[in-house]
Amino acid sequence: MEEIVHLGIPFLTPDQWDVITPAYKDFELIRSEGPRFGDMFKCKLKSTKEVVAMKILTIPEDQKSNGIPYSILNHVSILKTLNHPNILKLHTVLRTDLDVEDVFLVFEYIDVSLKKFLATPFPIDVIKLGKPFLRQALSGLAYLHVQKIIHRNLKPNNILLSFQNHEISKLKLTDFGVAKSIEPPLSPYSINMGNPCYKAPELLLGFTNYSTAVDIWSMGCIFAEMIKLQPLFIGNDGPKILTEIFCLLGTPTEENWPGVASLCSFIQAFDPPIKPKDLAAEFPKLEPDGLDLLSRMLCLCPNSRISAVEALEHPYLRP
Amino acid sequence: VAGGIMPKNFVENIDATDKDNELAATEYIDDIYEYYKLSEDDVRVHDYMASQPDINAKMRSILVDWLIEVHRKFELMPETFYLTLNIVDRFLSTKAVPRKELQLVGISSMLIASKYEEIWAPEVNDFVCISDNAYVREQVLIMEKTILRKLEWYLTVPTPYVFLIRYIKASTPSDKEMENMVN
Repeated sequence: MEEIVHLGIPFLTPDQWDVITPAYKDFELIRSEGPRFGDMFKCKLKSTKEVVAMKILTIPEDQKSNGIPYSILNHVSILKTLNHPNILKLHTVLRTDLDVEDVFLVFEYIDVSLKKFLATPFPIDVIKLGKPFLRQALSGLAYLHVQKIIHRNLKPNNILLSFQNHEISKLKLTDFGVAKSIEPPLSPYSINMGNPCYKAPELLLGFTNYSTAVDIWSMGCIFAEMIKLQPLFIGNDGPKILTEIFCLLGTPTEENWPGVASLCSFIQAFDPPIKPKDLAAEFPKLEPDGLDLLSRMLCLCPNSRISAVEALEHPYLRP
Repeated sequence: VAGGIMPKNFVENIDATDKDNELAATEYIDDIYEYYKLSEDDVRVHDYMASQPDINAKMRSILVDWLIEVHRKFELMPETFYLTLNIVDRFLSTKAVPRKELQLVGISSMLIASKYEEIWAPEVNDFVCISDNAYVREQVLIMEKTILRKLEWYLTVPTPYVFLIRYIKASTPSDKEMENMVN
């Protein structure tokens, strides 16, 4: 094996190289998600020259004696059920030698994540591209939610985009590492995953019976971030983010979120309650229909929050 | 659910008493089942015994009885058992298995199903022990990978269990004996 091939991705073990180098070449690291969720890199299929994205899911050393862990079973099983133009397509799960425990996922390749675009000096023109962006992102979400899959980790990092003639030619949701398929009988779900900045208030308040509405909240935060060019809510932990949320949208009341004030002492600490700000003043560039949709996606009460299917019918997104 | 057959107001809302039970997800329970009904056919297993040279239906039924015992001993959830059988049957319908490996297919399938469904799943060693060391750990791990590859990692499947719990809920008056048969 030539030493030079290691330069692109220094993290791979010789065993992993042995699995992928017979069929793939020209490796280049594109996203680093930390060892738990795998690094993603770009490479070329030798036979067809097709460029693909590869992700290696490694089994932690202390779990190897027990075979494939739940996180990987769940991740790959969900990916296999997905087939939609706005969801990054899993091409194959590589067949590996029996003594290599890692799981190699091969995806279609899309250039850049929204996070990168937001960081460039010439970011996306939201007035022009906001609608096609939301239409495609919500189509992907509606597809997931009909199948009762919650993504649970939407953030600019996990939305991939490619452009043609200054129009969005492709938009793909990706990273289903902590996605959850809702199955009856339902049991409480974990609330610990995902970036707190994009986490819905019901998650931050500790409700374990949440549903697909948590993804809509995250998408609302992302849309707002595209307009403001900085995260809508900034903070390192739940209480800080919740305070930011209430400062913008007001503390929830018994009227707009029945039951919440009595269940959560955190809210009672806001005395007197905070009044919601005028969203139009916060987003002066956004047209009234866009403001209305944004406010429905950022509705505090999950049961009253707009669904992906309803949002696609909203006047702002109607062609 | 039965809205197409009877006028809507004659159909009892079997979720009415769950209105305040947040985990019952009454708002979208109909959607979930509609989706299950649609995807059920994709994972339905057809009779495969004719393609198995070394095993027959009788051996399968012995395996299933034994798996029920294991399931009880490990105190697993009912959905784990239904998923185990779904995995066993889907695997056997794609690959000829020698008689002496049938039990290995059984425990490896239950290992996968437990990891998928249970919060505290039994470990590989527990399955090796319960089959009286008929196989070693490495065989179970290899079989686990073989099964996942053959099934192309599809585990998010509607098993008969999700339909049965729905039917039991809809049956009035409630029938304890029937409930016990499902669980």
